[in-house]
Amino acid sequence: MIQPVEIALDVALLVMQNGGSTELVDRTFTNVLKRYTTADVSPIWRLDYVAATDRLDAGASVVMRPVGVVGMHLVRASEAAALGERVATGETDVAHLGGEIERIKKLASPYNRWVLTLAGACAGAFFSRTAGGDWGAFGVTFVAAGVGQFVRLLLQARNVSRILLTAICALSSAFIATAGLRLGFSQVASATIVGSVIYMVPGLALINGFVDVAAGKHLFVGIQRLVDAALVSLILAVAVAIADAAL
Amino acid sequence: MNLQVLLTDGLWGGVFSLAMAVVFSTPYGALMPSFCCGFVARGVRDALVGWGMGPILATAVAAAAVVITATALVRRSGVSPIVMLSALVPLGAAGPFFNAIVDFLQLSSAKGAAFNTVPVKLIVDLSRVFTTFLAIAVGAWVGIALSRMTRLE
Repeated sequence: MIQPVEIALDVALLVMQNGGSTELVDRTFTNVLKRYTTADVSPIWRLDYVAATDRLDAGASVVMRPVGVVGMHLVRASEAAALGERVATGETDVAHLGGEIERIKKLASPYNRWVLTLAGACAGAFFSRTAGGDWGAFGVTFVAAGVGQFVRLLLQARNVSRILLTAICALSSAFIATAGLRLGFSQVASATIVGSVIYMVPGLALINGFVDVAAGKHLFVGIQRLVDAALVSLILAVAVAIADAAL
Repeated sequence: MNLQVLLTDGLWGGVFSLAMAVVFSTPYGALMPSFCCGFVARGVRDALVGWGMGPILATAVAAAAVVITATALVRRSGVSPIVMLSALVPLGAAGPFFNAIVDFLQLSSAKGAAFNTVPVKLIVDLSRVFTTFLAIAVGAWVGIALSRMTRLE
């Protein structure tokens, strides 16, 4: 009876690896198992691994999967969650689940590199306007966030570690923003500096962590997500401070 | 309260949320809700502040409005949290957060009058950061509770 638990765990893992909330991961796991006659299955959700215990007559079996790098690919996360719902309602046959999992794993981002770079640049520029920045801040943050986002996508494609990637991108964006301020393009320092690194804000980890902790049901993974977000915020803050002190 | 300024600021909030939604690889179908939530976030907060409400309370109400709008507009699993997030980011205390970092770094080398003023500035900025994020969290929690009560989610 271990195979259904393995399949359910694989679908749920897809949701977790692509930025889904723990509540959604749990719901997807339960949905897939609804089509099987499993009696007593307990999942454990963590950021480093996920596991499920299946209590059988002869004892208990534990299935574990390493989570690996948690990314932001909400198309895959929502497809995996939708797959769980289709399995629960009987729309998708459980025999086709292996193929569906592979299909979801291969789903590309709906946006190409240039669109993502432009979106990062626009996010920085638009944020500077919402934070009270002038048109100089708009231009500086557009360039700084655009360059940082472009570097980020390049490094992501080369599987650079997340901490190093965050530090490099934040430093490059913050240096450009600080240079723009020193050259007098803008007089609003906070909107310019924060806008230049806003595309790296660990918002997904923060909101998922907050929801997990508030719900109480997934306290451990919630704390893991919040600590992860705090680490990214610290790297951003240090990068901004270094750029501010260096120029 | 100037309606034109309100709409312009709401528009900036909307396009910012839209850009962040693309950065987060949100599916196409959630882009328009992201824009709407960003517009609601900024519009509601500015309108309430304009009518005399305190900025912290206005932020909490705006956060609740964002959550309700997101759950009403997005039905696809796993997507509504990211729409909420994109819209909640501009409500955060980014300015005081940045100032607090600068204050903290200045603290170790502060001399003379700065020795007295920098710690006070740091405490004020940290307090603003804390109360703003707390207001967002409380507002979002109220929004989730209201959405569940009205079966939007």
